[in-house]
This record gives sequence, structure tokens and C-alpha cells, in this order.
Amino acid sequence: MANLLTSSAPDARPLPASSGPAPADATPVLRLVDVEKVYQTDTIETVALNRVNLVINRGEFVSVMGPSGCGKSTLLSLMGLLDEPTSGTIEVDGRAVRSYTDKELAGLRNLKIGFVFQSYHLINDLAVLDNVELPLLYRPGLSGKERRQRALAALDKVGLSARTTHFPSQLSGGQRQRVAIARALAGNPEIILADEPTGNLDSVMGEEIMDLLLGLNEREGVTIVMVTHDERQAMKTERVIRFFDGSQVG
Amino acid sequence: MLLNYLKIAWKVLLRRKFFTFISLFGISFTLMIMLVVVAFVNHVVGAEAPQSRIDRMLFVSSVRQQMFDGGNMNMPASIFFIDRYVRTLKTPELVGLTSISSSATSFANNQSLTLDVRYTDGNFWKISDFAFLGGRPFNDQEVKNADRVCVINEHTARAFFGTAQGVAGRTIEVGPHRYRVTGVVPDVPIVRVFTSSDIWVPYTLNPAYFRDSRLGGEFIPIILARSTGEVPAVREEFQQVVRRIEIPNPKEIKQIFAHADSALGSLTRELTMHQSDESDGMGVFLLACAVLGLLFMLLPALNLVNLNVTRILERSSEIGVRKAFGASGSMLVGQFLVENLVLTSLGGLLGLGLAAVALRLLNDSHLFTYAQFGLNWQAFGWALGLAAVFGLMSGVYPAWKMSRLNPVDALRGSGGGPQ
Repeated sequence: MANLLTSSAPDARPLPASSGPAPADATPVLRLVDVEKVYQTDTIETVALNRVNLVINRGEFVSVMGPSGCGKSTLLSLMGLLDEPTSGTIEVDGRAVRSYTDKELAGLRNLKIGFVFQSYHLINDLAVLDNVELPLLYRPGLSGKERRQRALAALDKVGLSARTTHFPSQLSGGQRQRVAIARALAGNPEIILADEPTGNLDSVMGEEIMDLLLGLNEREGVTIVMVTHDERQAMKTERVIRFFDGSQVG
Repeated sequence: MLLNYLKIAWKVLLRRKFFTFISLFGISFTLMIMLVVVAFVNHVVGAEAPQSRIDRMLFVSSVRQQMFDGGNMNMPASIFFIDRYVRTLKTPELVGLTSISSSATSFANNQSLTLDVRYTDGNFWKISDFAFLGGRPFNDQEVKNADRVCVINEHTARAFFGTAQGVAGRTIEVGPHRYRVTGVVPDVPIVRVFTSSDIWVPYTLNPAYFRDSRLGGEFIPIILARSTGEVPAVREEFQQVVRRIEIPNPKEIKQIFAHADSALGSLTRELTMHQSDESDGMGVFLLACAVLGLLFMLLPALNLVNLNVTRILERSSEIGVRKAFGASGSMLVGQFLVENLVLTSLGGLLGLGLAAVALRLLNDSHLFTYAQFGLNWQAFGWALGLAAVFGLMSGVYPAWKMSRLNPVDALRGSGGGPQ
């Protein structure tokens, strides 16, 4: 475990040498083996995910689709190590994440994973730059100056370097989602997990965000798993995984 | 990271103005009371003139005669007791005496004055450090001669003569007698129970200056140790002497108890009724103070805990995001404690200001004669220390609760994230 956390620190992934296309290779970044998630209450047992086997390779852009309640967001939570499966194994970079402590999981999330949420989840009390810096606060060994530089670079990638001192309430929905993407990028993670990133945006802004994600995947080789309801946007990604009633159906 | 925490803390305080007001009011009011109490205690037993050497001073405030019938008689010491058992001690640097305070009536400028009178010896003036405004203390020879001389405080000097300057050598009439003023000293707050008075006269003029061998009287020996380190040795020697006291009436009196205590120790012995024990009850007293202090702070702290828990639930989105991006539970506990310490430190500063106002009002009210309650760096340290205790008391549980939130639930709680 320690090796996993420190071998590539402070970056989980080396920065790309060039901005040219970075096609998916066959190296698995995430692997789910027989993963089940069951929610248990006093009277009801709900199977949210049923024996899911899934591999996400480095550099892939994968869409997860399915009707509401089919388990796709649960899948994303498990992939993001925000929740634990009832049974089965999740592997990150070939290592099984099992019986990790809260601190170890937090460290792994910080190094390997970036999140983009449907409703942005920016911290309204912090300026744009401070929001983007957030993942770097929890990474040991980085100076304030380095954090700032990385956050500025991430904002530059999403075209918002002129808005560093603005607060989220002063931005449009599309801009907020760009800030959220910059935040996810700031830590230079292995993989970005996006939960309906265009769900709260109109079609124009939705397209903008989609183009941004596609660009990041193509130019920078960022691995992205995106939950979406939008068939058109899913079709733009390399692979679409479909879920129904907790099971993978395609 | 700390800067990020401080920014958030400041924003949260500004965002929830009512919450902030309630929190700050609770904290600052509680701390104000605590600081007033600290200032009071400091005033009573603090090392300030005329008792700057208080850490070397010991007081025998009472002599207990335990009777065979189960009764006890507590009285201050007689001159016989002091001459025989205190002045003969080998270890102290000096032994002086004062008396319990008595009242005398006088007339000055056609106005009736009620004056506090204490009877002292020449050493009293050597052990204490009164900054004489004019004149001098009375000396051993004048005490021995039972000369009708006195030292008066500034207030009394002004009442009689309209000034505190050039008063030495003039006379005043107190009760049926006329005294020559040898010197004038600043007013001493009444809460300094061993040194405060309006007028000091030689003990040889005291009606209770009996020349027999009774042990009880009206006098309080003051013993000055050579150094702070020698205080225990002086106490030990005095205890050995007390064990050898000849009981004047062995058929009635079973045992004699007397103790050389510090200023605070003699008060705690009285309060905790430890007159028959070796211990001066300081431990019990301090424990009681600590428990009372904690209880006093507990209610507003619990209130703050409640408010904090509510506030945390409102910030579940932020907690979820921080966890998702790599904050561990302990990091979140740290963040929340920093925020709470910022709030309580502000409360501490506000409490310090309120305490300064309260003490000024207390001084002006003359509730405690000649009181000059004030705040100092020590009080400031206390305020910050108490604020920190308060911050931890009210922050630990909410912070722990915050750190335990499941990130998925936390994100869902604000309507976003995985569903």
C-alpha cells in the first residue's frame, strides 16, 4: 500500500510530454471483479450492483448509461473509492483495494482520482483558484507556490485563467463546471470520474463541457469514466457501458 | 492549508452572522466572568505592593483549640503565642504581625468617619513594601513604648487634611485617643485581607494585648521566609513547634492546631475547614474551582456543540468534496478545530474587552473598598487559554461527527453527486 501511495508521488501520472493524441493502451487503471453492492435496511435488501466485472484502461473515455436507479452512480462511487463493495474486488493500478484504512483510501483518492459532479460541488466560500487548489492541499510535500502554479495551469486548460479571484456565485453554470474540471485535473490524477457533468447545463454549455472533456482525453490522455443520460454525448466516447437493474447489459 | 482553513473559517463566520453572534456572545460572556474571577483572585493573592513578597510570606491566621468535649475554639493568636512560638523560629528571615481588622469612629471636618484599624509591629513594615507617600512607618521603639502613633492611608489623610502631602507629624483623633501620624501610604484594596486598612497603630495599644499566657487573641503572625525555596522548611519548623505547644489547660483542651499558610492557603483552609489537618485544603479548593469552572463553561460549550453540529450538516457538500479529493477524517477534524479555535479566540478577545469594562465598573462601584481590579498579560494569557479549552470542548465532538460522514451521503445530502 505504501508503495502504491509513494512510488509515483507527488504525481500519480507523469505529465504528457507533448499535447498530441494519446490513445488508450491496454493497461488497466481500474478493474472491478465480481463487484456487488447491496443496501440493507431493517426490512428491505436492495441490490444496487450485481456481480459487475469491468476494466477501464489507461487513456480510455468510457460512458456509463442506464435508466435512473440502475446503479451507475453507485458504480462511480465504488470506482472512486468513496464507498466499499459488499463483495468483490476493486483494483487500482493492479492492486486490490481491500481493508484499506480511511487515511489510506483518502491518500489513494487524492493521488489517483479526480471527481466531476453534476452539481459542481464547488465551495462557495472559496475563490476559483482556492477551489481548484483543494486536492493539492491534501498532498504532502507541495509548497504553496507549487500548489498555486498547478491550480493556475489546470485553470488554463479549461480556459478560465482570467477568473481566478471570482467566486462560484459569480460564474455561469458552464464556467462552474469548468472550474470543477480544473479542480479534478489539478491533482494530475490517473482517472477522472464524472457523474453527469452536463446534467445541469443547457445544450450549448453541455456541448462545451463535453468538448472540453473530449479534448482532455484526446490531447492529454486523461482517462475518463462518465455517467450520462445523454445518448448523443455517450456516442462521442470510445466505449459505452450500459446498466439495467444493477447489472451490466452491454 | 492553514490559510485555506482560516479563509473558510472567516467566511463561515461572516456568512452566518446570527450564529456567529450567538456563539460569540456565549463564549465572550462566559470568558468575561472567568476573567473577572481570575482578576479577583489575582487581586487578593497577587504579588503586588504592599505584598510583593507574597510568595515568601506565611500567615498563621488562627489557632484552633480542640476540646475534650468535642468542641473547637478558633481564634487568631495572642501576643504570648507569637512571642513564644513564632518569634522564636530559627528559619525565617523576619516575623511580624498584624491583627484582625476592627472599626473605629472618628470625625474629620465635621463628618463622621468609620475607619478600619489594624494593630501591627515594626517588622510588619519591613515584611510588606508600602510605597510611602510621605513620612515613615512607626518603629520597634515606638511600638515598645506604646506611643500613640499611626500610619494612615491616602483616603484617610485626604479626609482629615484634604491632602496626602506633609501630613507626617500632624495628629488625628480616632475614638477617644489622639495619634501622631508618622506616615501616609497608598490605599490598599480591602480584598488584600492581611494588609489592607485605613489606619495602622502599634499592637501594644490594642485592648486585647494581654500579658498572660492565653493562646487566643486578635493577632496574625506574618512570617517572611528567606527565599521561596525555604518556605517549606519554615512551615515544617513551625509544625514541629506547634506539636510541642504547652497546653495551658490540659483538662479541657485536647490538642492545639496552628498552621503557617500562604495567603491563598489560609483562605482555602478556612473555606475547606481544614483547621485540624496538615493540608491547607488547596488541592480540594483548586479541584472544586476547576470543576466549577468546567461546569460553568460546559453549558455554553454544549450550546456551541449543538450549533456546530447543525452547521456541519449544512456543510455536508463541502465535507463530501474534501473527502472525495483526499481529506482523511483526521484532516477534517483538524480543519474544524481550527475553525472553532478561530471563533473561540475571537470570543476570548471579546471576553477580554468585556472583562475590562466589567472590572472598571466594579472599581467605580466601590463594592470592594479601594479595589483596583485590572487586566494584565497574565489575564490575557488566561483568556486565550480558556478560549482554547472552550474551543476544544465545543469542537471535538462536532469535528469527530463531521469526519465520520460518509462522502457519498455527504455529497447526496446537498442534492448532488452519486445517486
